[in-house]
Amino acid sequence: MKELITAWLILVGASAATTALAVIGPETIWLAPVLLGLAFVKSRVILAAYLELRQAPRILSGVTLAVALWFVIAITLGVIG
Amino acid sequence: MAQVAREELPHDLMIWVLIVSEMLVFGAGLWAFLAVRITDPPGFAEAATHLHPVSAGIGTILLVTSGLFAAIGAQRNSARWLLLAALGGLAFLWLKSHEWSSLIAAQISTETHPFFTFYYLLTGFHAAHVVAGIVILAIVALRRRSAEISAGVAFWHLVDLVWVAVFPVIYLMGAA
Repeated sequence: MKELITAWLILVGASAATTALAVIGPETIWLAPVLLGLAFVKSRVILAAYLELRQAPRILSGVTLAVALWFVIAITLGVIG
Repeated sequence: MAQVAREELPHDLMIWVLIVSEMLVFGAGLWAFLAVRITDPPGFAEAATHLHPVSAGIGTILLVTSGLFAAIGAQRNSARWLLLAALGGLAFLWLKSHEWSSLIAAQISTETHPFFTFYYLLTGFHAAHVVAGIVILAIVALRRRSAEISAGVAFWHLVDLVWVAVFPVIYLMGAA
């Protein structure tokens, strides 16, 4: 239960930070990578804690790598645009 | 020969096949959105001003909180927590319907701009998953069979997982 609550706190904190950065943050080229970086953190937390992949660390590493690659391409497209 | 310990997947294998398939579909849709955005950054930025990032942020918090309730419901085999999770999904849909109705009132459709073609497609497809998830949560809450609850709750977390990528790409990066 403690792990789930910790995961939820990270998810709420990252979601609030994402929204605040987009609404009142500075308009820099770093905004897209930061917003998507926070989304990657949230995805990792959902995979590990909510979807319980922390019980299978090697599978979690593989899925995290695939998700990270997706975010790298999304960040690249975001920065170009 | 050294034996490598085999890791057991949590939840049923078929639900993982579904999760990975859905991630691929949404992932491709979001990449396409970002690729088309390169062709018209000012148009996408202008279109994104019609959305409400704070409302979408609240929706994100509602969904991840609902995900917590679903996870607790699965751990405790509790119908009450699962129905609370479904209620969180309904609240998310209420926010979404409010957003769509204000856009439709402003005569913004899928034809208005490519931004809105992707917006309606991706948020609509996600909302369809939320509706399916609510129905699934209600059914597994009533039947209270642990294998079904595990699969139903995993589907609900997929809804969370997809949204945490849709939210910044559509609502925030369009304007960034």
